[in-house]
Amino acid sequence: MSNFKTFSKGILEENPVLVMLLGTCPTLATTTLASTGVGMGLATTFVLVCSNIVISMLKRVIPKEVRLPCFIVVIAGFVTFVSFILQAYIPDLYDSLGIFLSLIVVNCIILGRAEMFASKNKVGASALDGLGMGLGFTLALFVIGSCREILGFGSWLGISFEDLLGFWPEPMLFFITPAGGFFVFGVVIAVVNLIMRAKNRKPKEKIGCEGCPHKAECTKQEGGCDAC
Amino acid sequence: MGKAKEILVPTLALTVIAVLVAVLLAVTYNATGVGNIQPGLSDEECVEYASTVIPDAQKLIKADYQSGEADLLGVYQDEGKTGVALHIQTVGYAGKSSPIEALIGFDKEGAVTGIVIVSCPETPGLGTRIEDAEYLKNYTGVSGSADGVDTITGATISSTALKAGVNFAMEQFEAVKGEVLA
Repeated sequence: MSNFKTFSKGILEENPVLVMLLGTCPTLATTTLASTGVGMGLATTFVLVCSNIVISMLKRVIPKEVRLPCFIVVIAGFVTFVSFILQAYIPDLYDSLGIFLSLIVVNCIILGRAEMFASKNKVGASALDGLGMGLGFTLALFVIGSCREILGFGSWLGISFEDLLGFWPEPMLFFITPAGGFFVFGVVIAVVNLIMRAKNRKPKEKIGCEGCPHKAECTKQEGGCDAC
Repeated sequence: MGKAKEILVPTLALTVIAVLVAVLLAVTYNATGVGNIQPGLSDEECVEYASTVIPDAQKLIKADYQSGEADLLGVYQDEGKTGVALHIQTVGYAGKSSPIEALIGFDKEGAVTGIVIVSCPETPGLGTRIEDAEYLKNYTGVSGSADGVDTITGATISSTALKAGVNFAMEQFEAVKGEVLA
């Protein structure tokens, strides 16, 4: 796989949120405003890149039996690091992310990439993979957050359309609620599927080995898809 | 030997990684000074906020008043006796561990002159709408009870909590006024 492909697959083709449907909890919880979505995305991206690099470096040192606890310790270390930095220098973002910041530790995207990619690939490729996946996550949060903010608040990135244009229809509060979050999430997934179809890439039609974005990785290892 | 190695190596590896991460975090903790961040507001900050809720105030000072009420965090009085600001907390959507904090200004008769929310850990975009000046204006001039003020659709819990906070402040005002406005 070329370096560019390693990086770019996370943006759309294997987007962790919109194609693999991982990390749904922070996706729905932190996208009431576009700006908090981006903050969450960037914090996750940082942790993802750092943990991918460190785990890739340590892949020969970490015994197979304890690899998951080791990954979690490394990931938790970086998450705590990020939360110290945010608390000290960007307290507003720290407050708005709240509990979801510490929950990055159990974000399945990060552990998933550690297990699927970083523990099997070189450091450079793992960093690119982490960056691509992280930016894909950030992009997904930004798009969902933008839709919810524009429809639910009549503003975008904190700029109110009513102040800007002088008129704007009454915002639909529904989009701020969790139900609206699921709705926007579903529509965005549908749009991504449409884009994939237009690009002549077969969209995943069924769950199972064929439809799994990890297929290429899984089939390489012993036991093939069943071990996945 | 083989068995011992099988058990020891993974244990050691995990221990070493955990210790290394802990050391690095300790360094970061000290470098960022996170431990020194004070959870609440300083008295000076409160005085500054209080001056925005008592428009006619000349010089505000923190009153030496012990109420015994846990939710009354401080009382700020004006040397010119035009009014008093109560620093209160009230439990909103974020729960007891991170309550909403507000400074509520009263004139001599006990009517609200202004409210400023100084800490609002509510859901961004929903509960945080109780901070809007447009909404807080509804409380201005209210006295006796805040029950007549509307809550906000979509922020029912946060705005009800604020209303309860204002009602609490009104009760406290009755107790405090004799001491700080006389």
